[in-house]
Amino acid sequence: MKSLKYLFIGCAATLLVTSCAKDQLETSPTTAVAGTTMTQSNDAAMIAMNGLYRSMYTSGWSTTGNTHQCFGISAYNLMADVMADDHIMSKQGSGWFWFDARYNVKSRFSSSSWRSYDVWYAYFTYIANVNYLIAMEADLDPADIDKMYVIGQAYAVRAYSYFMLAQTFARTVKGHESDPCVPIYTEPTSASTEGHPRATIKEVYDVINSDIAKAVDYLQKSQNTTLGTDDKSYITYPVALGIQARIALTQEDWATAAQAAEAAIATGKYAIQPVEASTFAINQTNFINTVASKNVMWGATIIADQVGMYASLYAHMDFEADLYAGPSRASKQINKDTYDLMGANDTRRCWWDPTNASNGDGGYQQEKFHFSNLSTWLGDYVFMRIEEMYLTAAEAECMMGNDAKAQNLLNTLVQTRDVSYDCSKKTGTAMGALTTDRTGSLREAIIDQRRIELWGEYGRIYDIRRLKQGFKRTVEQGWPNDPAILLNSVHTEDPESYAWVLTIPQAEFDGNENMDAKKDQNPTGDYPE
Amino acid sequence: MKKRLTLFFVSLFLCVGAALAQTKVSGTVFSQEDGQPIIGAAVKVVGTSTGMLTNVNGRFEVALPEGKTELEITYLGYEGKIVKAKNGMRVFLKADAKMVDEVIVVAYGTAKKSSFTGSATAINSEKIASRPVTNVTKALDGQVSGVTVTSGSGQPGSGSSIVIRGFGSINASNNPLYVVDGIPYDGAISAINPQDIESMTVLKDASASALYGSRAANGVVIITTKKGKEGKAQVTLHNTVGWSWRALPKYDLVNQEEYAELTFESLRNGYMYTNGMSYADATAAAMANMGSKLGSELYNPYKNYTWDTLIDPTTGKVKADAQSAWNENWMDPLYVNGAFRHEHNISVNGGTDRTNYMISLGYVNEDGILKTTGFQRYSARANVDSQVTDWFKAGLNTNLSYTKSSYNQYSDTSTSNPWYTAQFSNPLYPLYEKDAQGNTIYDSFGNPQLDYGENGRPVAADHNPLGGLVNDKSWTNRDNAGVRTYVTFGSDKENFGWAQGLKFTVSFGADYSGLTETEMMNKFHGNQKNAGGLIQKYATRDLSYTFNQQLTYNRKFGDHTIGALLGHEFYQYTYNYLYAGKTNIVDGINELRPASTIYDADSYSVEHDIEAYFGSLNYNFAEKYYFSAHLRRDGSSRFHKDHRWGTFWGVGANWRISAENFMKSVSWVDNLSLRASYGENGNENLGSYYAWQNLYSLAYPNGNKIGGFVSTLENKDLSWEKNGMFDVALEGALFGNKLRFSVEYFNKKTTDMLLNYPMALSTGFTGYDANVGNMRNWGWEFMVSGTLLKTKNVVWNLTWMGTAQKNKVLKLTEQSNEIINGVKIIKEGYDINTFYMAKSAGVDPMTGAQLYYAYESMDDDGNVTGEYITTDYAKAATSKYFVGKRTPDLYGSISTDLTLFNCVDLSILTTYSLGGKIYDSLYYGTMKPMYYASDTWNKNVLRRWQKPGDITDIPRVDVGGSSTLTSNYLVNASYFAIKNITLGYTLPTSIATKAYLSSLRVYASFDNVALFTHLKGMDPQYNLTGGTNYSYSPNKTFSIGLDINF
Repeated sequence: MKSLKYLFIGCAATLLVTSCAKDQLETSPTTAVAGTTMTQSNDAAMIAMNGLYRSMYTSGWSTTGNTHQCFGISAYNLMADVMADDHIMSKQGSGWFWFDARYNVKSRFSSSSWRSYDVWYAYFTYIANVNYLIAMEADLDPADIDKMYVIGQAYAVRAYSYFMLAQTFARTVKGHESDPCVPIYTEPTSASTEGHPRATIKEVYDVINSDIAKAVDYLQKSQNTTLGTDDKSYITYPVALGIQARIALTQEDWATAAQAAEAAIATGKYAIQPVEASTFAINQTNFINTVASKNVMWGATIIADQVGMYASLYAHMDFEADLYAGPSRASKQINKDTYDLMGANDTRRCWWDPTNASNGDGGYQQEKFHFSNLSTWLGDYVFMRIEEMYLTAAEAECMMGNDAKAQNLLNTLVQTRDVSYDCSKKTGTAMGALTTDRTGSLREAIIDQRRIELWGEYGRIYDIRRLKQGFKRTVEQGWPNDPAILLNSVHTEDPESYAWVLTIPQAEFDGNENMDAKKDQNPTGDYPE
Repeated sequence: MKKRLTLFFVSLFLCVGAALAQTKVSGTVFSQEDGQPIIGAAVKVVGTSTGMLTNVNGRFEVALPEGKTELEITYLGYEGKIVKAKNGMRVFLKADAKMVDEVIVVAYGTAKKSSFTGSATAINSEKIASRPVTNVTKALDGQVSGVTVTSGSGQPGSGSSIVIRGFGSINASNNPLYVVDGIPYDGAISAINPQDIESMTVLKDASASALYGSRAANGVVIITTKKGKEGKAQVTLHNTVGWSWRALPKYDLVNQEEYAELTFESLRNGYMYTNGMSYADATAAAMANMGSKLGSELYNPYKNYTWDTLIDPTTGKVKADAQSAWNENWMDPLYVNGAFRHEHNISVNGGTDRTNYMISLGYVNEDGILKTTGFQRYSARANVDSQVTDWFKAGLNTNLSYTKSSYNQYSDTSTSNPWYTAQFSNPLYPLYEKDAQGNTIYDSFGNPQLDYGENGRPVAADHNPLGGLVNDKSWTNRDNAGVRTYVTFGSDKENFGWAQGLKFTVSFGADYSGLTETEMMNKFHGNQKNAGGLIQKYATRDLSYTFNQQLTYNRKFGDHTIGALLGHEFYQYTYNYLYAGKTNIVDGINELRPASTIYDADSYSVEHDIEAYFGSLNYNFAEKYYFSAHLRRDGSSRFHKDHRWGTFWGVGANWRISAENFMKSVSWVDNLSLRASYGENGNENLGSYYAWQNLYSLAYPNGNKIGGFVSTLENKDLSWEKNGMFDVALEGALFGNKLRFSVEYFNKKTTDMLLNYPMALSTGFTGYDANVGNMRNWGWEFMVSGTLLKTKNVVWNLTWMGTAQKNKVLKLTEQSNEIINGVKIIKEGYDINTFYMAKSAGVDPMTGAQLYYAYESMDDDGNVTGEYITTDYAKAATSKYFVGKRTPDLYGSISTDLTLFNCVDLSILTTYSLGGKIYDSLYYGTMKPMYYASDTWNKNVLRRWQKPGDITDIPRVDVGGSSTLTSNYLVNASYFAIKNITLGYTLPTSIATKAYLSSLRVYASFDNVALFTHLKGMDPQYNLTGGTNYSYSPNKTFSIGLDINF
């Protein structure tokens, strides 16, 4: 009896001892990996780059509210497009982008669901991500071209992010160099990182210029990398040149703009894609929704299990899909005056439908953007294509007085759309005070082609701002007869206005000791008080 | 519980003496109070060691040795009696007021309420049974002072959230730890059949909960299930049927005319005040634009006018002769009025002196008040305990249950969420399709056709709320299994010598929950029409186990009673998640296989471990002075190995004043005790299991390449949040137990608070988890319970509970003393749920514009300098004020119960809350609509500013206009609720016995009877932080029940 008792107790004691293995309390997640592993090899660093590229076309992380209008770069480009004169929203629809289009977002800076928070946090998150990779530069061996390739991309992303922030949260660089812009961070963020104050526009552009120059240099030197450059979501050497061209154009650095854009063309990796009406139809692949096309330099391939569904560009654009754009919803139309800038035989006329029954007195229904496969929500996002390089190079050459070169570049592009097009007679750089004031100059002809060619893709408001033009929306152009969307009370005619300068999110002030909401906020109206 | 303990004690005293041939005497022992037989009373022949226990009928038979004529009859809780032995005798025992003592379940054991050194409140099975709830957490409201409870969703099976003694944390969990039969419980509370619950104990202070140190910072709710009782098998049948309705009234929303007029007026205001048009031009533009906002003419209910002619421009009213062809509320047809609920349980319990058992089976089926929603539970439980030998005891407690829940998969402001779209729909639009004349269109079977808005309705595209509920399906199937098992070695018997009272127990408990969930979006309408419908399947597996070893020593040496405990525990939780979705489904088959196109697939798993060593010491002297001390050391896998271990402890003392000699003469004091405790507990429940690590989320594959995206910043220093609590209480029972009271003061201080330390957004992070800041909760709790009337035929009790508590954030970060979060602020010196909003300065009588107070600067006490009044919403947005808090000043319950003629019982439970404010965003959404056509107005808008000279507090209507939210939309949170009224009838024993029944009771229960608030429609108990949401409205239930024991 007694012995049995001790046997029992002995067994139980054994159980006690075996249960306390020392490493039992070490656990690790199955959905994430430790940050330290990301800089341990070039392959691992590419995982970080891939994650970053994915975030550029994914909603839900930059804000958890209003996610259907916050799906990365394409959303910000669309936002900037509907803020200008060419891209008409026929109705409020579900409200997405409508508040951008009617300049009713600046007051919503204290919410974490609206543009201020979304755009600010998204681009600064890109910057934080690449700062960890740029830190690898400290021990960069010039022979390690794979590492150079990663760091080059990281620099390009940082340049691009600061460039977009500068264009969104401050007036255009030229003439406003000493205006406050955004805070600058070039070191990896850690828990002890403090918020920085707003730097001036010039200081921010200094970083942008230096970063993009490094990016171009590194990516040029590392073109033989083993890490693969065939994925068009990657910022490769020609894409970095393209970004550099955009940056230079905005700074009116014509020489750099021309040189970068022409170098991108000269790589010979891309070619102008003809526009064929048959492909711009529902459920067809065309170069706006297919990154594989030969003209696409940078974009995102959307695969079946990575679709954004409603939180996607095409949900807002595709009329036939009838999701957010459709006969009774917020269909997207072109300004009729802009449409009329095309020649009668321009093949791009298929991008819009003047005969769509639901147009009414409005603009012309867009048909340029369609899901490539509606039933599976497929449709790639295009961030940059070679046609833009021709337009940029042409404008820069024109501004440097090289009219012949400019005419040739423009003709080369446009004649693929309209065989009878010829701008050889045009000269000069004059632009109207308003976008509706016509001057007949060569530069205007180039800008006209940007308005047609890049409609819906590039964020027209950024062009208007760098060109320092004003604009007016009218019912005649096809805008709805609604004073709110006609922007009657917004000073869009004045390029010096802050109307399109976004407010900084309240969350920044709440977490940043070096920024004061009362002093450092952008004007909430069109002008400072 | 009481009786079980008696059996235990009595069995210790009882020795079967050598029987000689003598006279036999038999008799029955009754309770003088209710005339019921007493089971297990000890009957002893005076002057001998001979004795026995009464049986289930209260009967005994004892042999009287020569010369012995007296019997001593004792029973715990009753005054003992010495009587002359007489065959066929009937002995009545009188309840001993001084002896009545509740035994409650506490951490790792039980304790007598009056001798317990900590703060604990037990809720017994009768109180739980009186509420017709499917989820037991909903029965807690109003039962325990210091505990706040949410109303919980109306979705059948859903529970309430509970906060004990205020918010102890900012970013970590504020939920209490649930312990079921001694083991922390991670399963679904809805898997537990409330009928199986013997008691729930809420441990409120640090000393009481210290033994659960690691996770007890927010208090502990101990659920104990029913066990078998010695004696002949008892069978209990419990059956109820009930019907439910929406408990809250609907918000007061505008009607069709008012809606059309407000739309017109808002357009006109916009054109005038935002676009600078003249009144005449604005009026014309507003009329012309009505159609563009409200949709095609098909949606115009006024068939004798078009949208642009509907309004009379001179009055701004709908033309008097306009005739509406329909008026269809979208929400009403979605309700099930009198949603049916029925519940059936059978349990059997019994046992011998060595082994007892309890077996139960239960079934509940509850329909929701929202169509297509419902809940079903099948449950079974078996509890067996056996004293195998004198020194070896073992037990197994197992439960199996299966639940099935059908629910509405949409929440918040998604179009398909009826609590948003249908509840607040514009009153103009019809639910059923209409022709050009406004007549409903019927299909060939004569059913009205649902309108999906395909003919130009500008809102809720391709959606019909009724169709949405029926066409889309979502349900969960959950399999639950739980086991509690133990073996104990050792004995309290004297013959074990030095080892008497020494025991070693090994226990193991595990909870498993396997969930499969299906969400189907149909292929004919709505979101997934283009994709041919979407079906999504989720499979999750939760498994937690606790393995525990304890060495205990309990022994009494004269007046000294000591109890000691040493233990070790290991806890592991694992969670597995698997998901897949496909589009292009086959209608009618809610499975993945026939669907054609893969949509997404995902899986992951989570592990969480805690290891702990603990010990405790209890001592009492002569049942007068009680001391206890507890110590526990915990290591959690959530923290880095250098900061993983935390030490938690508690000490407590209780002085039973009434047991002192000098109190013996004070006959009107039955019990009086003063107790105090202090202790420190921990909290590690951050949400993330890996919060300290610097991580890249791998949820970002780029096409077919693996992608990682920075998700969290590293903080190796992250460690336990600590909660130190001081508690002092005076408890007593007076005047023959007719007046019972307790007054308690607590002071809880949270240090090293787990906080998401906010960073500048421009660093690319919103913040990181850190231990920063301190917070304090303190307050008074009281309970007064009186027996107002007690006669042979009438017993009437009244209980009043109340809690007055306060919260104050003592310290935040080094850099900043405040965190602003939407309409709230967490700031040093203020309550954690403080509202921080712009303040309205009224409405400009000339323009109807909202006026705001603004200022140049504000100090930490809220004093402002340079205050001025402005219409500039941007200025207002940066001129926020401290405008109140959610925390009520006083809350609690008043309850009463009345028993008549020992057979009719009536109980009423009411709860109240005084003070505090709620930001009702649902109300705000209808006062300041964001969108034309999709948002509607509250009737309070009808007193808006309309023309120059109007004096009002509601500014001009301006849909989607720029404004800053002001404190005008804070609503007084005070309420009074009649939670439950139960009326029952118990068949007198004499009749029941004739029907071979032990007892029979029929009753009617009315739950969530009425609620009185400051704003019609608002749920003041939606959450405890002062908000509201577009969620399933709670319901009221009327039910009828029948309980039979035999």
